[in-house]
Amino acid sequence: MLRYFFKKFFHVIPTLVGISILSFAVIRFIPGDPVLIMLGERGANPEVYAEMKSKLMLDRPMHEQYWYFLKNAVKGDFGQSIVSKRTVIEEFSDRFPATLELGIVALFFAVIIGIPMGIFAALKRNSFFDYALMTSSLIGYSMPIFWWGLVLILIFSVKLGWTPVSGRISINYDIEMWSGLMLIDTLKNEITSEYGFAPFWSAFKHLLLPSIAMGTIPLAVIARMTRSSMLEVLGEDYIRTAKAKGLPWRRIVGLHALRNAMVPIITVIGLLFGSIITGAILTETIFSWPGIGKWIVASITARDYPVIQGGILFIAGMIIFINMAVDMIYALINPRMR
Amino acid sequence: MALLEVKNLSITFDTKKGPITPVRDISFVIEKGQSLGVVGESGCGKSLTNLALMGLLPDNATVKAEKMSFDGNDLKSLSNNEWQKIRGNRMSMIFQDPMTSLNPSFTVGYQIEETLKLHRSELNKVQRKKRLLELFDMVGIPDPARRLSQYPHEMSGGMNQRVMIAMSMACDPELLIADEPTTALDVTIQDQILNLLLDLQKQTGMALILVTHDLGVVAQNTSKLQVMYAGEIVETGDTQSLIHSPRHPYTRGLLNSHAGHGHPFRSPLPSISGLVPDLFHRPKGCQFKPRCDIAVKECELEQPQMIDCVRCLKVTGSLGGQQ
Repeated sequence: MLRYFFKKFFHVIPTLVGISILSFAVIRFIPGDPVLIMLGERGANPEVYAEMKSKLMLDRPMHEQYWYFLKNAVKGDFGQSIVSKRTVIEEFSDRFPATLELGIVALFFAVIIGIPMGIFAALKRNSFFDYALMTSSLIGYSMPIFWWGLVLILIFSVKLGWTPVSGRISINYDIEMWSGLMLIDTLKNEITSEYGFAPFWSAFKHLLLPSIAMGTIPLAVIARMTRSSMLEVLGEDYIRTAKAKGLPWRRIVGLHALRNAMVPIITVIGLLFGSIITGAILTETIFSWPGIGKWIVASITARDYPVIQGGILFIAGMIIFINMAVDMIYALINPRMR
Repeated sequence: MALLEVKNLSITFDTKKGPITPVRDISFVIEKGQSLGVVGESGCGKSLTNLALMGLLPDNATVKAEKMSFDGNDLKSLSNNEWQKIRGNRMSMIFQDPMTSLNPSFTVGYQIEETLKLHRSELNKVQRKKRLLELFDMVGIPDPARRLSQYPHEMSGGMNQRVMIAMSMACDPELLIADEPTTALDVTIQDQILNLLLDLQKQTGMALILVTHDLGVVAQNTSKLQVMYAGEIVETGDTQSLIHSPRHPYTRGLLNSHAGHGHPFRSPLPSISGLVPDLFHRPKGCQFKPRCDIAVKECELEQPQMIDCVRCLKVTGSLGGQQ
């Protein structure tokens, strides 16, 4: 198991180097000059422009710029944001917990609902429920997130007034961040003794719509995958053996079938992390969620090179490590993989 | 009282192309401790009959029977709960392919222990472990302590079939159904597994239904033999007399195509020409008629009844005054 881990781990390094080159190169292909954007189109007199350009090292040859980027990455701060003058890592760690919280809740929602629905559809194959579920999951899968997010806001926030429109928590509460996850920080003693559980509920309500918007596609994918994987496994010989042993149906489905059906489901969940991140960019923009999705969109508009480079590298690295974790879980469930 | 009694069992499947009846009007009885061999070509309904006895047929199958009882329990009207108490406990089954019949995600030890936990809940952990080692020893798996913690993919087909046997023997069943237990195995292992099964049957005194293509093994080791063709029993009886004086033309054909000791070296084996009938277009009258070399015109008109343990108009002399 440990050897398997290290083998996987060493595969990660070349991938990360490749991504760093790609993210470095791609932003330089986008038209738009960061110096010009910083100085404002009118205020650029040539000397100031040249001075700024050399300050940002943008007048150096490409390989030197890349080397500088790598050096900062290895140093750990990923350089300085052109816009805020803070280091990229500081900016990132301010915002990442918000995205993480949203992503976890969205995926949790997708898994908790998607897997049981898929199992149920497989057991009641070709029933009304099965057809209804498969149709609605197709709809869920095809809905554009920005549209779905707006529809949710329109119905639940504007018409019904059940949930807030944007942000992470009501401005009435001043929550000092400790873990960065609002659901956890609002449960700390100082907060509950001052406000009770109201801040927690507020944070929860703020999370509800964005996580539904972000979790809908994963939910649809997971439900479909669970259904087809379960159907396949239920037809296997070992399920018949389990029946012949006299095991109760619940145990056959919940243990013997699910354990084997989980392998492809977990792969899909791992891959869905990628779509969660892309989902975050849209969702966070719609719901003004202060996470990395919104941050990167803003940085692209501002041509904030260090932030974009660093941000993409972070996200890519995250996805790689999540996939690695998925591989590990794989090996745990499926003994043939070890 | 007979251990297992089946009377006029038919199995019907609802398919998209219409209903088919792969098994029809089967009747047989097994006494306690008796061994029954079942032979016949593939697609003759042998496996389906066994699955029906275990209540393991898929949902689109309908089982009709005048009587189907196991030790006084009416198998037709058992609730799920009652089935669970019989299956794997008093009546167990071994399947064709051991490689796919064991769950790949659990160790073999766990899978056998599960049966014990279910049906022998009075045993504690230590006793269960002891029983597991005993079972592995009984089915001839060397180094049982190590093997118990292995996964099915880490073992050979023969070893896995031994595991399956150990699993089915875990609760000392009164009836063991072995459905072509050696078909998926290497030829060199087939004999070992069959002999193991027959030894176990003699040791424990359980009843055994052995479905196989190997007439040699059946001839030596079972007390009763049943020949199936196209979902019907065409001949049945005491194994020795059936082997030595077969009466139904199909039984004779099967025995002739078996390379026994009496077969001349290097001469071609006789075979039965033709195929088992398509179940959507069953022939009228005798099912074997299209392939039969002694058939007469009347065989096509009338479906032969089981008379004196044979289902053949010609042999039983029930041709309306023609004989």
